[in-house]
Amino acid sequence: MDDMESQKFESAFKDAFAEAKVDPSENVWNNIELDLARAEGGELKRRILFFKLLAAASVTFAMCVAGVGYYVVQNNDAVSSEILAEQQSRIESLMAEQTLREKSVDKGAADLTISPTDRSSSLTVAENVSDGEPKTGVVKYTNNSNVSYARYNQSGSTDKIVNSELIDDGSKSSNSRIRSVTNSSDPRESSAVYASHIQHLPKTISPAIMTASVQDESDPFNEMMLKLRQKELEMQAADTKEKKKLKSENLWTSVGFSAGGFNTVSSGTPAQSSSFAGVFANNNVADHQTKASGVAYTAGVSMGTRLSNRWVLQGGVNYMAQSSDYTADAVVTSDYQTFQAGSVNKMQSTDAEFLASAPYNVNNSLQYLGIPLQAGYLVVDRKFGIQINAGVSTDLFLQNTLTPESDALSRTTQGRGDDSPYRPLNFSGLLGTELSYRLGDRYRLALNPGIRYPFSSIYKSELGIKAMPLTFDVGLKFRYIFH
Amino acid sequence: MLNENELIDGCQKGNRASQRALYEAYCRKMMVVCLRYSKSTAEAEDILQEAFVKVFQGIKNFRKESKLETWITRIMVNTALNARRKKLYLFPMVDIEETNLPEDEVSLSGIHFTQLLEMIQTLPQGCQIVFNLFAIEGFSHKEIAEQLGISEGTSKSQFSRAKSLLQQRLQKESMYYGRYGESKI
Repeated sequence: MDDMESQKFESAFKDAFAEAKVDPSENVWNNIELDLARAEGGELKRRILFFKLLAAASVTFAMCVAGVGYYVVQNNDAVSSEILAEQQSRIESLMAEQTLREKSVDKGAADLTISPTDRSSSLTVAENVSDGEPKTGVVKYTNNSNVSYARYNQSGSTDKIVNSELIDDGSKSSNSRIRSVTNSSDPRESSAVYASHIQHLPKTISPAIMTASVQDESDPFNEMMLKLRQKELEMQAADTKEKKKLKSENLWTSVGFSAGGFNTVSSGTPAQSSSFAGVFANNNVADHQTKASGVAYTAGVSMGTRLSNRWVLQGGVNYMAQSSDYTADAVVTSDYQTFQAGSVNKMQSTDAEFLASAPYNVNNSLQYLGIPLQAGYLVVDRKFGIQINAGVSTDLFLQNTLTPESDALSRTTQGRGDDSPYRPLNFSGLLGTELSYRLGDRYRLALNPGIRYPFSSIYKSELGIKAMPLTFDVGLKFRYIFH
Repeated sequence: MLNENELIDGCQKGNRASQRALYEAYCRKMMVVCLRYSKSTAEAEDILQEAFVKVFQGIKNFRKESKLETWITRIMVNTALNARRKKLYLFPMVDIEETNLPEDEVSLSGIHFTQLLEMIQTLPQGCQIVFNLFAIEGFSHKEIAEQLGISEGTSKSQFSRAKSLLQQRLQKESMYYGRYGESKI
């Protein structure tokens, strides 16, 4: 019984509220609308932030890759030239050493050994002294910049004269002349004499390359070394050919599309209207409109040419659209019958009146025709390329379209002209990178993140508003190479 | 006039006109829900605003498996509970001695819902929430206990207390009506 009573009590309450209705105040909807606009703005900002981060990450990545690539290329060139020089010197010294050794073995010639005590490498010079003809051998020492020559003369008579002439561009023993005479015909003695002379050489000189006056070309070792040298030259030629082939990109055209976000860096608002409410509404709308962030799209074609080994010049024509949303809390009217969205566009109009209204959303779309001209530096110019671009874009204002999210307000378009608040011509600075990949002989695909910043406000100066949207975007370009 | 499906589709696309229409269709009923869980109109409007923003943000995930009104009401109740939860931490619900007041039959006929609202709003925090959840929303004590993080016994005792307080108020009102008739409303 109690339970039934209890249920009756509860259902009585439930029934009492079943069709109950209470009007909330009008502010609730306005606040909901503002909250929604703020949340949508937040979502847009998050989307813009994503594009910004993507552009920033791409630029950072490109710079890192460019830095590493440049270092690797430079290092490779230096290392390969060092290796080549070292290999060449080794080959030559080995060839000379081998030739002289063989001659001394075959013909029982006297050995002349040069072994500087403070050096790791040793050098052996052998010369035939049995033919009775005075002979001149030239020994060449190189150690980086220090070059010296030791010249010795030798006669076949019992009196052997070793004339060592040391010429050094260093300071220690430059232009020193050493002359010694020995009566011995023992080759070991002459060797010792020469060795003693060599020991007087400055320590900066190290025997690295020795050129012998006599070479036997039919020697199998020499043949092998010559073949090696030939192969090396062939490889060098192939490398140069490939480089030349890649560098044949002298003129190209490209078509591209880019998307990103923009953020107005600085802005000011005017104070001009016939009434206090008008001033407030006017300023509020201008503030919201000029500070709005949004998305930017660009599509265009361009031409490029190579100016030098590393520098290129690019120019073209772009169509650019910048779209943003702002919350307006005023409408514009001139006859109190037709109403338009509150915007900067009507600020110059003397017969337009700003009237405060409930907040509503307006989509603001700006369209430009851009003529960019950029100089580019090729950091990496291979199949994979990295290019850093900087330049100027001449932006011609086309039109501005305002689309209010309200059935009562019509969509309006503002073109160029005296009544337009927008500058008809503006200049923007461009900075970006191009990461590209060559697809075959004629095509190259490039990803180019970049920033664009106008040098002056997009609004006319007499309006008292400054708005310079900083645009971050990432573009995709498809390049066709003419030659 | 848009039907409910068109309204939902419009809201799912983020159309502001559809959102406004949906709000206009349900705001009055939902305001009552919010008032039942709050102590003042201002507080109820805050809950209503927050809840409707959640409705518009979450409607993309609404699969039309339940009635739209039921779904919106659930969001209102959850938002109200979240708003009240902080206060419940300050004034935790504890078991209170069950009142054994005589279960006199109290009729609600002739009493306007605004008066009932006022009575509910004057209930202690815990009693108000448990009464709403049990008597009007139709949750069991077990479900209430799980939702609020209290014991089932606490939920029962809070409800019993709420019921007894309301009965006392209703008896007073009945006596008043008995004397002065229904002209007060």
